[in-house]
Amino acid sequence: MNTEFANRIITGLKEAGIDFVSSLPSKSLAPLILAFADYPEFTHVPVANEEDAIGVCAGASLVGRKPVVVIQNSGLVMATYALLDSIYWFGGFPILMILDHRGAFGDGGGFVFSGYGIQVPRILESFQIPFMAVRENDNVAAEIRRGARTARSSGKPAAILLLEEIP
Amino acid sequence: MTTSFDYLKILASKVTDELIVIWGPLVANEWHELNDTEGTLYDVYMSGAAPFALGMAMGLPRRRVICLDGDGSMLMDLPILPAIAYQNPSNLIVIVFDNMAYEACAKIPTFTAHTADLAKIAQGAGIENAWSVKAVSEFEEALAAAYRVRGTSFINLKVEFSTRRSPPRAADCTENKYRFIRHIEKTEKIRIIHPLGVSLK
Repeated sequence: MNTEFANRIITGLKEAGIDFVSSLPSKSLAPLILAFADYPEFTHVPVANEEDAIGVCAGASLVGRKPVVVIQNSGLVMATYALLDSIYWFGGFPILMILDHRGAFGDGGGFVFSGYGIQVPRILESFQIPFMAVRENDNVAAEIRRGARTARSSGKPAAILLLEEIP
Repeated sequence: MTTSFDYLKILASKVTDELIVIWGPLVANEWHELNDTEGTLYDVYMSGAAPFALGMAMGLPRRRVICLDGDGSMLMDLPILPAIAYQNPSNLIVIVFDNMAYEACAKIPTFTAHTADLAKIAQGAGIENAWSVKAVSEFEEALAAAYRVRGTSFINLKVEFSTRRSPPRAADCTENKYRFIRHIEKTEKIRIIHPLGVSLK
């Protein structure tokens, strides 16, 4: 991810009214995660475990904040426990998730990512979490606005999968 | 040692408008019996109470948030401790009821029955205000300090098993969620639930 793409994501988050972030880095997401420091309108809570990102954002949503989780798609696999319980116990929380979608169609990064590329959309579908895959040339800000609107409107998570060309 | 109910009676006498986040069915039932409030969120899944509480504390800095957790749950999510320490919100108190066992699972010992010390782990993660407590009088002192000091407080309560059982709750997490949100809306004078018929931008 280059800085320009990160800035367009930030623009989308601000336009969507997002004001709370919990994140765990991936190589590609680093410019975005570092950029949050320049925007005091986001309360940024880094975590060391993606499950915590879901919990932290759920808690923030309960007190009126509009949260986004920023993690790699492998982290979604880690977070399935928290997602399942928050959805099936509490009926879900309005959390936008931005996932660095490694291993997707066109990713040449290697076999270590392939499983996530194939399985993460199935995991999202199994949790009935609506999602949209976005490439760098797409209008990412508009899709973020739509994703945040979907989460708020339903009171449940929604996800943006970021697809990048990895030669 | 002291029972969880003994400690909770002290806590119930102290709180006013604090937000309470609980994992642990026995502690949840006891709190419900002693001091059920609209600002209490029960049954946050095992390992979920501390991250929920951190999100609330960071999301609403003017309200004090108290997390009531168990030793098994805290051991399951130790990575939350450095995340809490890094933010170090003064409005967050984490209290662990450490009975040194998975009580619902035939009392199989947790690692705190052996070598693990959760207060030292919290300190090692960077939470300076961390205490290990074995008696009601010590808890009163630690709780008073937690309300006074800057930064997050972590209180590990050594708890003995009790045969006493509080009345069961009619637990429904979704109902509890909306009760909690409506309480925040009312007390903070904000709107959280999106009203039907009003389009989102």
